[in-house]
Amino acid sequence: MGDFLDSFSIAASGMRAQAKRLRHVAENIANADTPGYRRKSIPFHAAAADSRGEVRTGRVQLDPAELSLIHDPTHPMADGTGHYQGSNVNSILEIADSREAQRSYEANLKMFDQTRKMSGALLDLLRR
Amino acid sequence: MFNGLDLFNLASNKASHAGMQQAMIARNVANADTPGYKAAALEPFSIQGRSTPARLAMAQSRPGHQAAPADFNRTAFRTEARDGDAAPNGNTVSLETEMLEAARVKQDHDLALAAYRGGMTLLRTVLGRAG
Repeated sequence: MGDFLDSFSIAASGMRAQAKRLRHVAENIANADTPGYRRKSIPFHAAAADSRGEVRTGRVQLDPAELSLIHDPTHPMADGTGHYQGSNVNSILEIADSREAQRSYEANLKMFDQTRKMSGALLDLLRR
Repeated sequence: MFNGLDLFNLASNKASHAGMQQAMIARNVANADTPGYKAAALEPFSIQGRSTPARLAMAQSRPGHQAAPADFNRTAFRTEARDGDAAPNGNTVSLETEMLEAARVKQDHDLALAAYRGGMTLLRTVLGRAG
């Protein structure tokens, strides 16, 4: 049973990490047109060797890439040349990232479900 | 048949091997997007396995307490690295391989439980309590 409990918590940690990633993707897409917004991402780390092996998420990181320069002289933030700094969010990248997060989330969910079935079958031995 | 009940030992060893393998696959899947993570697998199940010294001994503090059976020690298995091409970030987990392994583990576990249940049915029949 101990291994099953480990499996549950590892799969749950995977789902938690992917959900957090998806949350930041949503934030990036929502702020794609916010002037001066830098894309946020969270790094994944494998847990220490002596632990069960859950995945951990690190601190939020801001993308250091150049902010895009948008030409719009009527914008209130436009400088003397008629440009203002937009965000450095790339929607294609965000969509691809969200697809990958979804795929990994589903894989973790499947592992959780299968572990539940296996431990259920084990407990069924006691039931009869 | 009754000295040792090897069938039950074997079935429970196989079931616990499947459980350990399940934890291993869950770890690989959870770390499928972790940079630099290397996928690991458990060595295949074998009848002999490897026994480790028990970390917890059963205490006998009263005369009526049972002694630990000789095969109380849990069978241990080695982990080995799973081959596979690494992604650009150094991760070697392939979700497809892990899903395949997960299906196999489920079958192994079901097989072990079926063998255990079969043994129980046999014993019940011997005792004259069919069903």
